[in-house]
Amino acid sequence: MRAIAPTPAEVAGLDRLDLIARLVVEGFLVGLHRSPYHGFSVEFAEYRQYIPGEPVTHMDWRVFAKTDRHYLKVFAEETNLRATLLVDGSASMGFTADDGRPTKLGYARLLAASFTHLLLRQNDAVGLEVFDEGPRASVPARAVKRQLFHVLKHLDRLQPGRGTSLGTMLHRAAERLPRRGLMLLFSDLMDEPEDVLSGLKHLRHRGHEVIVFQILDPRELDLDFKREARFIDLERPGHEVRLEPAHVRAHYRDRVDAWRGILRRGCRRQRVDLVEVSTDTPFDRALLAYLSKRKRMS
Amino acid sequence: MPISFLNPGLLLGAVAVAVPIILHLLNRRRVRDIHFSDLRFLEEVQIQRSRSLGLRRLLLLLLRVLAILLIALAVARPRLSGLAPGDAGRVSMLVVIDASASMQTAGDEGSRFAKAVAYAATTAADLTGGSEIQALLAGDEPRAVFGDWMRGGEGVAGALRELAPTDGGFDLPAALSSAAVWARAARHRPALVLVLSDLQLASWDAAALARAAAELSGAGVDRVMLRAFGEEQVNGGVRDVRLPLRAVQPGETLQLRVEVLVGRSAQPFWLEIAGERVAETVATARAGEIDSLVFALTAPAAGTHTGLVGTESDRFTVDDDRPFVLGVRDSIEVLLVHGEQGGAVGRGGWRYWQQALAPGATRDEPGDAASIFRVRALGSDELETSDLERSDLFVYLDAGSLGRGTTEALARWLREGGGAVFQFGDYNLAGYLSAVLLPMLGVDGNVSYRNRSDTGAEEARILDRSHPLFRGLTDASLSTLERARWRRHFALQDSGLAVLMAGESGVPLLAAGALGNGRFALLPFNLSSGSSDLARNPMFLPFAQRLAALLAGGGDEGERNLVVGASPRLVLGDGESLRDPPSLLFRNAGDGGRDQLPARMSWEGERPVVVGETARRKGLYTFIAGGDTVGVVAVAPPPTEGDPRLRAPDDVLTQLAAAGLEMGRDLATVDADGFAAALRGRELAPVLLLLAILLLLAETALSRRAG
Repeated sequence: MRAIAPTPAEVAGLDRLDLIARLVVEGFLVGLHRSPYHGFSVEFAEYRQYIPGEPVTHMDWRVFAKTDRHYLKVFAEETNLRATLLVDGSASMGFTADDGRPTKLGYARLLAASFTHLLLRQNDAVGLEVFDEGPRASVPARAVKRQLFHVLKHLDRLQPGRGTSLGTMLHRAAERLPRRGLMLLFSDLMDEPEDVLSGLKHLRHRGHEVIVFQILDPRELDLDFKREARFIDLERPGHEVRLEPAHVRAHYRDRVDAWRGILRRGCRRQRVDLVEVSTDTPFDRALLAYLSKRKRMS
Repeated sequence: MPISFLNPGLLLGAVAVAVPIILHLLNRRRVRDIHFSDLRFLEEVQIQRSRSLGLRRLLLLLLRVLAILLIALAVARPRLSGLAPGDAGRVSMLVVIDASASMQTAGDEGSRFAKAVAYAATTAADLTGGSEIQALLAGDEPRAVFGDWMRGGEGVAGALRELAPTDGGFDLPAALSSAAVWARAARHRPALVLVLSDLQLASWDAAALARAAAELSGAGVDRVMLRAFGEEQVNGGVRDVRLPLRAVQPGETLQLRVEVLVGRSAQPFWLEIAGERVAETVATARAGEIDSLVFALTAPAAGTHTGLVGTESDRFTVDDDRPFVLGVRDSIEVLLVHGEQGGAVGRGGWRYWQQALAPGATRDEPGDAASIFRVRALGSDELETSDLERSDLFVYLDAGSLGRGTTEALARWLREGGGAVFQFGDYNLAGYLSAVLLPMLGVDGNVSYRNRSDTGAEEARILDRSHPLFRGLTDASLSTLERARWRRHFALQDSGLAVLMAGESGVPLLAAGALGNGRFALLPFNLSSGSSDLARNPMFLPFAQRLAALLAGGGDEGERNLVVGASPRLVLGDGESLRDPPSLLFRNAGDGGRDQLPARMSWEGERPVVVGETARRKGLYTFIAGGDTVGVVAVAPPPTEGDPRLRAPDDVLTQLAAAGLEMGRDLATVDADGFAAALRGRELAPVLLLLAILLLLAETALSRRAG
């Protein structure tokens, strides 16, 4: 696949979220060769000419018998999917190492907007839940065109909030959204892994399909800072650590890897798709992860 | 161990240590803030590593600072010196080499002087790197070997090896004073003084040594070091030959008193005259003691005779023989001046003098031809100044006033070495004595006249029986002389003269003095029967002859027998300078060869003299003019040079320290190579650079590990 969608760095300076999301989705789709948009519908939409090499699953043999030409049936998808975007708006999401990349929240916002755009184009119902240590915004899932405006309006205003209580918020979402659907979580998952996995388990228990986009800044992974610095906790006022990053880098990486390992294993057990992205990961990869999931769901 | 630097200015580079320190402090201050998403992991690792991080950071700083310091030190070229820290590693080294006779004492490995010179040469050869050296050859009078401070090196060392000792003594205070003069001109600091000596019989005047030490301190001398050579060993030799201080006449029996240091029991000593052994004796004192020997000698024919007192050779050869010159006169010209011819002839008893010196003489006849004295009696009105030049002794006896011109001529003649007897007992001469005669002789004090009755007459007392005038006379003879009685005489009070004989009341009756090179005797009475009965005393004749011989001849022996350090000097007779002035002076070196020394003509008043360069070696110095020998002078070493006693360097250093020069050091255990190495110091830069490199490697490894 050739990525035509703009990269996070390219869109970091833009402020029209709707346009950016559209750019991302259109670019993504252009590069996809075949449109998933047509892939999962059960309602016939049109014919199109078969291109050698394609699967023959949807080949219309009757047309072939009549015309001796290969045509594929193209179906329009039924809009029975309810997707809810769970966006972590805690303070930690406001971090960026500030070298041209967006904040984690900025990345999550754009990714969420892109999904909104994509889902609505497929006539899926899209809802939004924004939270930090408590709920901050909620848009019930709907499949109308105007839903794009409602969702993007909240995403556009979204700024980093207070602390994180991700586990609690996931439990709350599981309770508040009883109807089965797709849960797309955009978060750095910086909470106790047990709480996070507990919340995901709850969602799964309610019958939701869950895709978790764990968004981290590259510097959070490698701690690649020069010189000694004072690290100030974004979520816990008064907490700070003064150290030489180079001096602790190896130990720090060990601990981060261990933490991510716990999350990976937990998600695998819950059959939750964990997509690990950093704020310099192209949006395509995140969107592809969704398509893969969507395909399995169909 | 003191450290000196070749490039001390580059030590300023050490301020570069401020760079890592400042960076360290700046880094501590300029910590940027990073608002981080979650500190859980950082807090965990920080707790574990924060303490070790601080320590490591300090260790890194320490390594950097040390490395910079070591590099700065290395660039300044430090040298480890055992002697004194110098400016840029250069020193001014002043070597005082004892060149006295005792330094010629031979040991198994050469003489003390040879060792000292080798020590100095090794020091000079290794004194490179811009250091300078000057050497003082100190025998009697210290003299600089080089015209100016010289750069150390093999050239200077070669010149030092050519040095020769003298036969003189060693005057440490004088040598140190001379060193102080040179130290003031030294270009480098520290200025070091190295004394190489055997410290033989070094009983210098403490005050003089203190003054010399103060001069050294004032001249900026930083350290005085001593290296003593030799060990005490008794070597027999001749310390002194005491020649008669009077004119000697041919055939006279003399007693030469010789002081010797006995080297072994029954050590033989002998007397040679003109190369022939004429007497021999054996010392009876024990080894190491000083003995006094007497050689009986019949005076040879008139003339100047050379001789020596010798003994067997040993390790110290300088005092194995001691040369001397003995003058024997065939006549002594006496000018006897009495009252005016037209006046009372015989006043004052001048004929007693005439008959005592030349029996049978009259005014026109010289008298006994066997007598050494040839007396010419003149009235004071007949005296001409030219008469003085032909006389060896001037006798004045109540001759009245001589007139101003004659008095001045007499004073000049005296200063140039004449001898005179002034005898006066005429009351009328009191004014002339006080106003003219005594002031002319430089005699102070006042004169009174004493006139006693016969019953008040007093006898004489001889106050100095060891004086050459009385030496050799028996006690009976001296007692006879003391029985002479005096009634009328002048009384000289507070004259400042040496009183040899006085009345019972203490009034001087015979006083001796000197004027320039001349000597005189004052007899404040005359020989008339009313004044004293000395002329009728049985001892008058030997008394008068001895007094005349002493005053007429003693000065010559003093001029002919010198000690090393004096300048040989020859007074020429009338007209001699006109023929072919002697300008060459030879010293016989004992081994058949002879040294030629420079001499120059000079004048003492109207008398021509030839003066040679300062005599530094013993021997017979011969003046030659036109191929003829015109005079000979004996030069002997100082009597004490054969003394075996050596002083400990610590004693000298203690004396210097007492005078405020506290940086002395005894180099007894430091050989020449060790001393040179200590002067040179040890270069520390390579070691420091190596250490700096090691520190930098450690720093790199540590910082990488931290990274």
